[in-house]
Amino acid sequence: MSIGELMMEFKTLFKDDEEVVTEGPAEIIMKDVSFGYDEEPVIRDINITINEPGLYCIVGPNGVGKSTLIKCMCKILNITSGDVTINGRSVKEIKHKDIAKYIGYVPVSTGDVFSMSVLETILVGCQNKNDSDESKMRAVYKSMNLLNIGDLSSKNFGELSAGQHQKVAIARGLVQRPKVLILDEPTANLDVKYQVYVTELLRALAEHEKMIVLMISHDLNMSAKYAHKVIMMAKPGIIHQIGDPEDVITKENVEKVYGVHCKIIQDDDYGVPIVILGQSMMDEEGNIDVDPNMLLMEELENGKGSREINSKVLGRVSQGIQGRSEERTGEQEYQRQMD
Amino acid sequence: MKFIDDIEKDPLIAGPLTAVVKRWSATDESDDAGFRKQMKDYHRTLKRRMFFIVCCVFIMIVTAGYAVAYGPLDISFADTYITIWNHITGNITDTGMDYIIITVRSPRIVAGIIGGIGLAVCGVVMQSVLRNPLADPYTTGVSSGAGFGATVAITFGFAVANSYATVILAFLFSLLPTLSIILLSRHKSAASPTVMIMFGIGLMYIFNAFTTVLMLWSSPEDLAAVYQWQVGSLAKVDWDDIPYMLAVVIPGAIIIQFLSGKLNVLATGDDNAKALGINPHHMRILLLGLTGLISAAVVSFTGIIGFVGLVTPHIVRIFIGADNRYLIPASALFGGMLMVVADLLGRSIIPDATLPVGVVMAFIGGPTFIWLLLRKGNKAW
Repeated sequence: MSIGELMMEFKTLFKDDEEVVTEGPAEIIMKDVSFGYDEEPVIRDINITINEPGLYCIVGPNGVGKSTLIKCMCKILNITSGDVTINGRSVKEIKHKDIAKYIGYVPVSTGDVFSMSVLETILVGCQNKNDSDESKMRAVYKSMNLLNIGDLSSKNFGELSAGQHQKVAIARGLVQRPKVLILDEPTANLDVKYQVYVTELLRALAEHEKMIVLMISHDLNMSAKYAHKVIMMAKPGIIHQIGDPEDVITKENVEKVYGVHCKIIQDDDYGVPIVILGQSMMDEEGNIDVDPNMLLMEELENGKGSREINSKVLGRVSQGIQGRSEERTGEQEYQRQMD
Repeated sequence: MKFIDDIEKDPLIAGPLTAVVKRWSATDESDDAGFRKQMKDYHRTLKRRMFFIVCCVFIMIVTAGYAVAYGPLDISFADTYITIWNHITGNITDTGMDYIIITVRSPRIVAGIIGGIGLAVCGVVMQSVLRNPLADPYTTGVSSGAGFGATVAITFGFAVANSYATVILAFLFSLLPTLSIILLSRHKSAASPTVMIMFGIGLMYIFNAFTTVLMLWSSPEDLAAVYQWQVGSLAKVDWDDIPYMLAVVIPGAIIIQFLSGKLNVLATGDDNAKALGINPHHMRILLLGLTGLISAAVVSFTGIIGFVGLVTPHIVRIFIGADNRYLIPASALFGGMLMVVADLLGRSIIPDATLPVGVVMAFIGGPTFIWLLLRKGNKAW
C-alpha cells in the first residue's frame, strides 16, 4: 500500500461517492476463485453463478471453507486467484463502500467490547444511507419488528443472550435493505422455534423482495425444506454440488461429504427430502477423520461388514419415527426375540 | 421447493408471516404507537446525554472561575469574571489584577481544559479502535515516549541550552510509538488490534528501561527535574505554549468527531466494518495517527498525566452509553472538567503545597471509578 493509495482511501472516508454499483437484477459470479492464507488454499477453483433470487443454503462439514467462500463474495477477504463479479463488475475494482450498498453481510454474532443499545447497534447498519434520522429510525423500527425484538430496543447489546445477539445481527443486516443478503450461520444460537422462523422469514423475503439470500447452515433438514437451491461444499474446499435440495441432499452425497450414514425419506406434506442420520463413519481404529470415500469403498469391497450393521441401526431409527404400526411390529419383534 | 413469486401461495410460509413480511416491505410512512414510543424513548436518551454534557460544561466553567480566584491573593469570584471580561473586551481597569489573573493564574487552567479534552478524546478513540478497555496514551507507548524524550533533553543538558528542548524532544519521541505501530501495521500479521496494543506495551517497557538508565546516570538536580516532569503538572505551562496545544487538539478532536459514526462501525469488528463499507485498516491508521498527534501535543507540555485518558471514557460510558457520536464530545468535556477540578483540589487540599494533578486524579478518581464499576445495575460492563 503506497502513501498515494492511502491518501485516496482517506479522501473516500469523508466524501460520498455517488456511483452506484448496479441496477436491475442481482448477479454474483465466482470464477475459478481460490483463497488461502499461506500456500495451502482454503477454497479452490470455486465456480458459482447466482443470478436468480431465492434462498441459497450453503452446507458442508466444518473447515471446508463455507465462511471463507461468503467472505470472498463480499470482499471481506481478498481472493488470491480467479475473479468475483457483482453485476458484471469485478470486486477488485469496487470499493467496500459500494459493495456495502448492495450486499448485506451478517457475521457469526459475537458481543462487542463496548456495547451500545440494541437500537444504536442496528442503527450502525444504516451508516451508508444519507436518509434523515427519522427515516433511519423507522427502518430500524421495522427491522426490529420483523425479528420480534422491538421490546429490546433500549436494552444494552451486551446484556442480551446469544440468541438475541443473533436476532439483532440479522436485523442490522436487513435494515439497509440490501439486494443480496449473506448470513454466516444465522440460526446457530437460536431455539428450534426461531430456527424455523428465521429460515422461513429468509425464504419469504427472498420471494417477496426478489432478494438473493445466502446462508450457511448446519441443518440439512431445514435446508432441504426451505432452500430454493443448496450449495454443498466438501473437503478440500471445493463445491461438491449445487442444485435443487432434492438433488443435492441425497444419501450418497451426505455419506460422501459428511461421512455419516443416513437414510432419506420423503416428507408427505411438502415432498421435500428428510434426512435421518445414522452412525458416523470411522475406520477400525476409531479414527473419525478418515476420507469417507475410502470407507465407502472398503465397505463395498467387503460386501457385508459395517454397512450391514449400520443399515440395521438405520432401520431401527426410521421405525421409531414412522408411526405406530411400525412401532407395534418393533414390539412384536422384541417379543419374538424374548421367546 | 421451487421459487414461488407470490408468498401467499407458498405452502411453506405461514399466513401471519406473509403479513409481517408485507408490512416490512411496504414503504408507508404511517406512524404507529410502537414507533412513536421508540422515538420518544430515543429522544429521552438524547436529552439525558445533552444534560450530561451541559452539566460538564457548567461545572467546568464554575470550577475554572473558582480556580482562577483561588490563590495566595484572595480575589472574589465576581471580580475574577469581571477581570476576564474586561481583558477580553480590551477594557483593562486594574493592571495588577489583570496580571495576576490573566498572566499568572489562567494558563494552567486553560491548559488543563485543553489537556483534559485531548487526553479524554484519545482514550475514547484508542479504546474503540483497538477494541480494548485498557487502551490509552499510556498503554500505547505515547506517554513513555514523551517521558524518554524529556529525560534525554534534561539529562543531556539540552533543556538548559534551549527552554523548548524538553517539549520538542518529548513531542518527537512521543510520536515514535504511534508511528511505528502504523508502519508495522502495513504487515498483515501485525495489523490486528491486539497485536497493536501489545506492541505499544512492548515499546512502553523499552522506553521506560532507557529512561531508567538515563536517570541512574544523571545528577541529583537533573533527576529531580526528570521526576517532576514525569508526575505531570500544569504549573509549567504559560500562554506561549497554549496556541501550540490548541492548534493540534481542537482540529484533531473536531476531525475525530466527524469520524465518530464510522468509529462506531469499526468498533463492531473488522469484518463488519468491511461489510458496511469501511476499510478498517486505513480507518485505524488515520484515527491512531490523529490520537498520536493529539496526545503528543498535550503530554509534551504537561508531562505524563495518567488516569484521564484511561478512565474518563469508562466513567462517561456508564452515564451515556458507548455510542461514539455522543461519547466523544461528552468525554472531551468531562475530561476537561476533571482536569480543572483535580488541579484546583491539588492546589487547595494541603495548605502551602501543591499536589500534581495526576496524583489528585488518581486519589479521587480511582475509588470513584471502582465504586461506579461495582455498583449495582452498572450496565456498561
